[in-house]
Amino acid sequence: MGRVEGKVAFITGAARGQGRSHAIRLAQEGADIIAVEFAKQVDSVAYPMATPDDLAETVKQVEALDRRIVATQADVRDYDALKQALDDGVAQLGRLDIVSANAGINTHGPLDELPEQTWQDVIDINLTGVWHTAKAAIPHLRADGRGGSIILTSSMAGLKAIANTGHYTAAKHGVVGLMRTLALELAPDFIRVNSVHPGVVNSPMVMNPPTYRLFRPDLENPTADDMAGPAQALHALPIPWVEPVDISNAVLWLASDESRYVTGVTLPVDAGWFVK
Amino acid sequence: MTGRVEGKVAFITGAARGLGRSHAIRLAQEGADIIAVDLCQQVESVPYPLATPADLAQTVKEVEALDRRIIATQADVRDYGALKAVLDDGVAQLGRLDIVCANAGITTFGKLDVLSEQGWQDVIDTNLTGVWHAAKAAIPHLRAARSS
Repeated sequence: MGRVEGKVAFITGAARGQGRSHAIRLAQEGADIIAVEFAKQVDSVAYPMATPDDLAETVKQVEALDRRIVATQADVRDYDALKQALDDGVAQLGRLDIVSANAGINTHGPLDELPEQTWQDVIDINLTGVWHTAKAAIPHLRADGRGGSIILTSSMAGLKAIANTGHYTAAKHGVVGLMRTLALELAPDFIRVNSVHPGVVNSPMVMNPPTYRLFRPDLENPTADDMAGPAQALHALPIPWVEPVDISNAVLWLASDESRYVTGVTLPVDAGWFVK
Repeated sequence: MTGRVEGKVAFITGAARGLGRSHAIRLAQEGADIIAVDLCQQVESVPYPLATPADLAQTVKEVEALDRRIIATQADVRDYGALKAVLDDGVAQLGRLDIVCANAGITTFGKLDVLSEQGWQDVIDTNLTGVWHAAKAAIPHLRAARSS
């Protein structure tokens, strides 16, 4: 018997990285998946975003676990499209229990130079998109009276300032306010709401040349290896980054009934970055 | 007696009434000149009356009664280009910038599962993006003051 056996989980940004890992980890423990991904490029983003092929790979890996998955290309900025994708998924899979608002982008720049569009894309996707995800899901979570679990992906940047990512830091702090308010508003229906706060994660949103340059402005063409030293210096535990599955295991716990009385919590998975 | 912010210039958004007007008056009492901004129009999703041009005129009157200078302009913190133009103009007239009070804000109500798109967006745009706009517009002036 899996830890989320028979439940259905809605995951945004599910084509790769943490989102794909969440889909696989929850499916391993018995959940069916409603997966959403934009699967297009956002112009202000300097690394390649997920593709339809990536989303197809997530489908393949979940189906290989003998779980069902409904995967749709949709933009979390577009509430109606997101709601439609979720409503279709629930109609096909019969229920909704778990929500992982995971979709996010990352761009860099000091706050006094950041272009309007760069700010707006991060606020729209990383903050408003998270609200859209929760808003679309709440009627389904309420529908059968079983309660549910909503997990919002924030960041270490949701708990402390990280220079050159002020828009990202503002959005991720905003996610904490959203999480806390949702936890209060939904508690009477036994819908729990928590946030996870990854540190440096070995995923495509982090492991790309723009981020290497953020860590190593002294080098012309820095690599992941060049970033390892300064990344490790952020952490208390002597590792440069955590793996997507480390976040997935926290999401799984918050999704499962093992955490049935946990709500309103900011859970870091950060190798001790926050305490350092 | 020298005021606690004597000779400094303060940029205050949402300065027509409430906290913003109070900040303008309190800083003026202590010797600051003021660059004041307010939308002075209604935002449709807001369920209470927003400040008016008459409110902003009252702030001007109260600051001038303290023998301080004030440049007051109607501008929207959501519109970076407009906000920057107003601040640049104020600094040109008053000669410097030392203090920024990103105070403009609205409040709307509703649980998160029923909040309208516009009700969300107006608050994010004004209370978050508008605050960034105020800081972004001000930073070059603050840096210039330090190096001068």
